[in-house]
Amino acid sequence: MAEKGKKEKKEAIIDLGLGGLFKGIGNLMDLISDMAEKGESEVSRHGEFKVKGLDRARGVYGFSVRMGLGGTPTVEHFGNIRATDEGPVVAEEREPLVDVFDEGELILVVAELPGVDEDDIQIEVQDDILSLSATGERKYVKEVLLPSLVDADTMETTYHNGILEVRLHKAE
Amino acid sequence: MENGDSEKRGGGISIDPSAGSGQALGLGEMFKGLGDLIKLAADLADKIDLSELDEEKLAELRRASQTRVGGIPRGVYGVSVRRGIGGIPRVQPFGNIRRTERGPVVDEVREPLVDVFDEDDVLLVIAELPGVEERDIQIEVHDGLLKLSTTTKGRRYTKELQLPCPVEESTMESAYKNGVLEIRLRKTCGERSRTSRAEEGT
Repeated sequence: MAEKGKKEKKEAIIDLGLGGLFKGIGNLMDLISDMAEKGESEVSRHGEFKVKGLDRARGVYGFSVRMGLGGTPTVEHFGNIRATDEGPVVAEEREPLVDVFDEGELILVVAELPGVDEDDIQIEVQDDILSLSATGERKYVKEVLLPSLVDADTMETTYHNGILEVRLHKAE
Repeated sequence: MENGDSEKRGGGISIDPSAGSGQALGLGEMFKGLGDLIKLAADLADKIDLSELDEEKLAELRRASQTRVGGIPRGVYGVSVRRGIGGIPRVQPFGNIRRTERGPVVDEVREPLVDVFDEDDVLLVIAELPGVEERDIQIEVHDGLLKLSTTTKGRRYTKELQLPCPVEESTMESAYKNGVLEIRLRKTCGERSRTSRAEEGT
């Protein structure tokens, strides 16, 4: 029985086998676990660390990998840690995780915006650029390049359980 | 989240430029590591080499790419950095890319972003679970271990978390709104933790 369960678990895992890309991700993961350790030791060395106003602020940095339109894998970043010349900074606004799907006549944009109210979400479409922002307890901002021109008047949106879906008809 | 609280939090995120070191967090090596991470991730997209894949694999990937929300074969991996309880910066990974001997794989189940706040006599756990229904969330607390899981068809999350302090399991209150789950649990360790005193200075 136990073996059966194990097998099922195995099948739930999708091995994308993207060669070099995933080797790169392995390196990233090494770096992160490394950072977690260094972060701890840093503290014990300095005793404390104080960043004004960081009490409840959080830095988030992540990336998503998926097969993009046309079968090319795409790597997207999200989060609120930005690289600057002076090192990483934590911004107030977070870039959300966004996926874009080509559905024939429609473009579907799915964004993860947990923690905002629907009324706080602004969406603007100009040519093939969709600008998303959310203000409120959590702040998000993102510009998405759509795979084709769209008719902004056809936009339909839903927001449910932290997920925003935007549907747009492609322009003729 | 109460209004006063959220305002405090919102204000807290904008980092005071008068804090000397500018906006850089100044966490030394850890943040150097983070800088490297961002660069590496930026390079990743360029490194994608499809020539390593055979036709069959490519076809499989193309099929997968056409699946919409639901069977998302999307890999997500990230790191959250925050000041933890007692002022210790906590670096926490999240996502659904797991290491295996064969290299990283994308799992169907994602580890959510979870934060724990020490609020004097309660622990507040905030988890980001976008895309699930409240009724599909299971929460278990046992011996200081919090287990979160969801069974929604579309998105699945799982997380086990060691709480920083023993809690009264029967006091658990939870609320889910707009993709964010909040859990409150009464602490059973010293009312005022040593750490919060330490933060107030000498």
